[in-house]
Amino acid sequence: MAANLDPDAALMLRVKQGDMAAFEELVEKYKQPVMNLLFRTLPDATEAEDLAQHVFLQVFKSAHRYRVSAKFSTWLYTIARNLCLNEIRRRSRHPADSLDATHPENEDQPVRQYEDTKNALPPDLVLRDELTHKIEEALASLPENQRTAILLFREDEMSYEEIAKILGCSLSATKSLIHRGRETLKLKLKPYLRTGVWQETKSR
Amino acid sequence: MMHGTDNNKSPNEEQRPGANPKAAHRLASDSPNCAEHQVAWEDEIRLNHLLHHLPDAPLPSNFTARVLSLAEQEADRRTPSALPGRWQSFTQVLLSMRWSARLAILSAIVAIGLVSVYQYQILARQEVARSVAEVSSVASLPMDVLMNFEAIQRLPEKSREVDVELLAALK
Repeated sequence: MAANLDPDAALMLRVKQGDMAAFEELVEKYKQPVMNLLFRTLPDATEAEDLAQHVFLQVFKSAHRYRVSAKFSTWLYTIARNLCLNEIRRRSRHPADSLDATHPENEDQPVRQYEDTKNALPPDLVLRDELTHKIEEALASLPENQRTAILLFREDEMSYEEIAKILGCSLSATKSLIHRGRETLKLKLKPYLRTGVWQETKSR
Repeated sequence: MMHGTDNNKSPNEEQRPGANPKAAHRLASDSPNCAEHQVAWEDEIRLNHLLHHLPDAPLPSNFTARVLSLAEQEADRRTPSALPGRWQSFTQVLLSMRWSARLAILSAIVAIGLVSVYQYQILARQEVARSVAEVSSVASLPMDVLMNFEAIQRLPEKSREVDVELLAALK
């Protein structure tokens, strides 16, 4: 893939030459999408933020090895997901922070919920919105690969092929993950989808 | 259920279920009798809307600055100074001079180096000559003096100095 087909790859080639302005441009462009992905995978906003910084630092460190073989965003999200999985593994090795622990009241539910995260946020943020809360809960209940696939799918220009590369699985498996994830979400959000409450949500 | 039956859909619409609300509405209106499909498509559209309108994660305003600061630290760490400080300042001073001055300084440095090497060689030769002289004086001694050489050698340094005087007297 030629660098001129992907402006981000062209920027990354400039980063490879030590251009900090190009790196800043990439960070500015991707900080929010990367943070959105990490925030909905890790339960803690501060940890997600630290990890997002680490993702971009890793991009900078790996710049000298960068080859234009795929879209920059694919490479970036692969790094983000790998670091995120490493963090989840690290946490799972410590019982106090275990993500595998079941909910004290409902053993079918994971202990990882977004309530704690939301308590750490300013009270007038989106978490006061019941519908948003329900969507976040539904997303959090999905298996990691389904959730990541759904969140990447949410990115406007992310194709099935790119998502498959990031997840490291086949195209058909990726389509299946997204389909199953969406079906689960539709099932969990059915009352909200049918009542049309979604029309009242704030637009970004 | 995810994919419709509309043959006029673009490949992008085909790949992303419900990504295009207009296409989904068109599909629903094209097959009004298929209520189940219509409801399914409406669910797809609403789900997409919900997902696309999820609020952004909170991000501090100085996030980029912090990342850039970390990156700059990393860049500094990976690029160690090529020359130590004093040597660097010396080379800077040297480079700021005219070429004749540079040549004179470099010649002086080379000359000092050559003289040092020559002096070292002279000192080394003198040391060898002194050793040979000592050995030759010992070789001229009678054999009965050398019979106790091992015992004398084991004596402390102070005692040996006395023995040297004794050897001189014996000569």
